[in-house]
Amino acid sequence: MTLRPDPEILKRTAIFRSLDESDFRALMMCLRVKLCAPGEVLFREGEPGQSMMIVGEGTLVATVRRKDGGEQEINRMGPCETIGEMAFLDPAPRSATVRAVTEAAYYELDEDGLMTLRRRAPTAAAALVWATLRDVTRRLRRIDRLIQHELGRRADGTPNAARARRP
Amino acid sequence: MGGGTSELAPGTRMGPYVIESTIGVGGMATVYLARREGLDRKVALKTLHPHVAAMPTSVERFVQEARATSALRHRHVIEVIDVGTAAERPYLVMELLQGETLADRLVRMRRMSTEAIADVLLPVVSAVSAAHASGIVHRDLKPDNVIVARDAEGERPVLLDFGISKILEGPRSTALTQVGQVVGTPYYMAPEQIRREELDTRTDQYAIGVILFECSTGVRPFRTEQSLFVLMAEILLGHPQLPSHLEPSIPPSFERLILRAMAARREDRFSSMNELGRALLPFASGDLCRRWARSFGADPDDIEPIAASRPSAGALPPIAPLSTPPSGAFDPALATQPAVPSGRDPSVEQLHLADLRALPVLADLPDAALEGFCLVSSGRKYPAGRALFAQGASGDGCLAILHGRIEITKEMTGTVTVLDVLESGAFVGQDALIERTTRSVTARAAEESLVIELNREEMQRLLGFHDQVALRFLELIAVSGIRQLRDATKKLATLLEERATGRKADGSEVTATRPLEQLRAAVREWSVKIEDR
Repeated sequence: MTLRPDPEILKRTAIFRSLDESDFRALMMCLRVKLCAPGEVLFREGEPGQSMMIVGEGTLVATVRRKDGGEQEINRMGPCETIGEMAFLDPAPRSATVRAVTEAAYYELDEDGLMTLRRRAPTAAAALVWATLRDVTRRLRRIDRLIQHELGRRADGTPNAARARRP
Repeated sequence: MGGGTSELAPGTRMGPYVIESTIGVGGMATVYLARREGLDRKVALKTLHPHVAAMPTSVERFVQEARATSALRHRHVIEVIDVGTAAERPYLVMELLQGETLADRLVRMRRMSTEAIADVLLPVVSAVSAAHASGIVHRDLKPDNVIVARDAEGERPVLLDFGISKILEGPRSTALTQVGQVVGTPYYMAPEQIRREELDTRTDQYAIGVILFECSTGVRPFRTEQSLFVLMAEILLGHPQLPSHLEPSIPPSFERLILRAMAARREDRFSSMNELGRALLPFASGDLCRRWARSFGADPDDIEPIAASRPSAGALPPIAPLSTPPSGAFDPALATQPAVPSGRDPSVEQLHLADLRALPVLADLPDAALEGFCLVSSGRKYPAGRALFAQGASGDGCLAILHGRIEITKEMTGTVTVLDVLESGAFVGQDALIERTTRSVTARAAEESLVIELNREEMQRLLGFHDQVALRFLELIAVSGIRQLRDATKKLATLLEERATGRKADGSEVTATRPLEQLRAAVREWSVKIEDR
């Protein structure tokens, strides 16, 4: 396999965009480049997740198991996209299986990498955490609004639209 | 791999200017030698690095630099010729100076005679004084920002870089350089800069004092390599080694001048830059002394020259290398800061090692890191019953609970519900850290509680010192947000399930309105994003 991901990809990745050159160099020292063949699985749904990945080349697909035992594709990811940055900060089982569709290359930052990054380039570590926190906060606000909306409408006693449509 | 600075190649056009070569690369910007098209004039063209330009306040600072500098017409302040933007990169065009920076000169000469120091610094003091008269505090005076240029009239010291200058009482100044945002080079920072107090013209005087110290001894007054915290503690305590202990030839009156300019308490410094200039005059060479006397309000005939010191022979202690200065903004969102919160300050408490040791998450950090954090941060003690913040109020930060218990309540349709009681190690209100928001709950001390208030500028300040404790706090806040998001996703999934079956877990009937597919799609989106995006 001859893929070599372009480090410039990392600079275009949202969570690393604000790093200066020295922090970026420190980050590069903490990342591992991994290559995978088409069909190769990066991790499976339910496995413990403790690292984050940034796609460098190729396409990856995320799937979840359906109740009927089948698989459902839920997302496709390409260069500059990140995978698992939350599980990375707060380990949790992977909620989907991710596998390569094409030959692919990705960068991986694991726990050891984060420890090194904290020590060598705390500003880079902070940028990563800050970007994740910002993302989480925004999602949380939106999901809270959905929940509040739903609960609010129930409290109003509005009829259940789904049931109302039933014959 | 291309450089993150994305340097401009010779021949690149920036508006009417053509890049010829690179003069210097700094942390924030690159300065190029450029030529104005159609004219023979060579200029220095400064552009921000693209990643810096992407931060909104950097561009504002850049523009402010241009505005502040061009407002000062002084022979010893660099002349700004033009500003513009090309290919989305703002640039600043300045006169091209031939010479060396004072920092380069110090590397070359290690230290200078008092006369040479006075000759170089009197014009700089005059330039800073002129800036002060225009209501501008430079805030980042250091040997790198002084170029000793050579022109037809001989040496011409020129002051550069008003990039972080503060226009006193200017309406725009607060957003960029308000209290709480530490900008500047740590070695030359005054105690009030470290303490995040309101700055004034005496802050520049402190930096001039440090430069005088460095020029006359060859070392900076505070130069520890241990850590930035130790450096800041030394600056705050303000007991530098006596310059004459480092360099016995320094005249006692020059030493007094240095120590007065860099006094830890502002009240103990000279009353103005002009007064400092007047004190420096007797050390200058005859010509310069006469030339500058009137501009500092002195009569040249009244000045008694003081014999110049000659640096003594013998080995000098090695010059402390610069460790990495705090890198300022790491995130554009951090830079646009709302006002510092006020009005909820029951008592400010000095933090102690034991307070931080109470948090298991900091257990693996060494005492020195925690002690350093205690030096630059402070806690707040809330008496029992006192609200930390109230539902509906605007908030811009979160609180880390060190000791005590904080009760979280929510008022809905006239009913107050206790949602949670949080204890040591927990965070309150973290969503406001990202952007100012309306508090959705009330947080009240259930018993006397010690907390650390962390708002954006405080976080940025602490992280700017490469602080491991602040980083750990930030990680904790993120983890707590992630857990909340997971819980919220589960809750929404439950609502979805209830909607699909029309029954709650307790068997009661559900009434709801949102189209089922919409909710289902939302849950799918969130559950995927939580772990894998």
